[in-house]
Amino acid sequence: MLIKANGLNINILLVDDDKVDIKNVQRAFQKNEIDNPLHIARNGLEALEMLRGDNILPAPRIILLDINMPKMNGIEFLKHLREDEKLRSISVFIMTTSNDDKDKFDAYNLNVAGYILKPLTFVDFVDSIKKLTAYWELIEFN
Amino acid sequence: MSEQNYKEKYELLEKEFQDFVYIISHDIKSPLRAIQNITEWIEEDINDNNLESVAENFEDLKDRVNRMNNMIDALTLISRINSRTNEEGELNVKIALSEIKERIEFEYKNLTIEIDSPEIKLITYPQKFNQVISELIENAVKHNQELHGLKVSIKVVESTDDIIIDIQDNGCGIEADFVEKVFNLFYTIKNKDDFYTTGAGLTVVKKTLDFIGGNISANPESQKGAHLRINWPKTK
Repeated sequence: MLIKANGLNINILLVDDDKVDIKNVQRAFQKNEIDNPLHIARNGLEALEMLRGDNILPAPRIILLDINMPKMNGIEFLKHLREDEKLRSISVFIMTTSNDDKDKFDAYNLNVAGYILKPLTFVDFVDSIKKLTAYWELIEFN
Repeated sequence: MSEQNYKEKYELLEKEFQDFVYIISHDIKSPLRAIQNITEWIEEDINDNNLESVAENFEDLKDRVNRMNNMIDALTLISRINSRTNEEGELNVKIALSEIKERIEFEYKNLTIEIDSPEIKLITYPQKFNQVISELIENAVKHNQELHGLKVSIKVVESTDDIIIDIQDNGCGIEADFVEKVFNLFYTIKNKDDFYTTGAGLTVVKKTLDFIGGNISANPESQKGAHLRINWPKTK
């Protein structure tokens, strides 16, 4: 299965510093036969460099974001993302370990597309994606 | 103790307890979650006869168990800092530093420690002094293993109520963004997968200094290498 927008396969960027969490997402993708390219950044700084440097083409439409990372954590990264004209409209899913994290994020008002409880509960993720792609079709997002 | 003192002490203990619960439910839960995941993957991989993946997963499993152990050991160590053992005594600062220098230089061949200290004696906790200085030097070594010719300079200056100990190294330094975070329990600047440390050493140092009524801070403007400053009270 390929997640598409406007008939094009989308790139997905995972921002997470933990090898096991990364493997979790990769295995979940494999198991659920999601064939979209999954790109990895190990922290917020690396992710911004990849996005601004056009390392990933076409630019990712979805970012899966971990919160606690060295160098630049999830909240700081998301603030930078929303301040950047070119990057602000990327849909971001926050991977949290608890509902406390969710409250913390809501407080910042950073336009989060959804929350995924770690470990990645795939059913939730796929549901969120389906809603998102339906929304894209609805507004004919280019 | 006055009622106000009791109230403050109670609130401090309450806060420490909440911090402790947070650490258990976040930091220690993290490797535990990984262990849960990895054991499921091992079952799946065995079913698929993917033995290479099984071997890799076992390595990750051992690594996470190790991390949990280290974190719990660190917590145990921290809980012991406040115990008033009968270790108060006289400390000859210059001699203590020389002994530390000799011991650690012998252990790490590519390391030079320079001491510049007045002749001064304090009534304090000599063991804790030893632990703090040793931990800071060994921390510098740990984070600069590729550097041949690591130099750690320790300069002591006497002030009215305390002595000021400046520890400067010529290593990779601590960026301004991290100078306060490095003292947080289990915080590491580098990614744990690339360079593993528990992230408790500086926390133990800080809590020890809090206990004796001293202070430690990292200088955000250190030009080359890390610069730490300790205030160690002259009387306990």
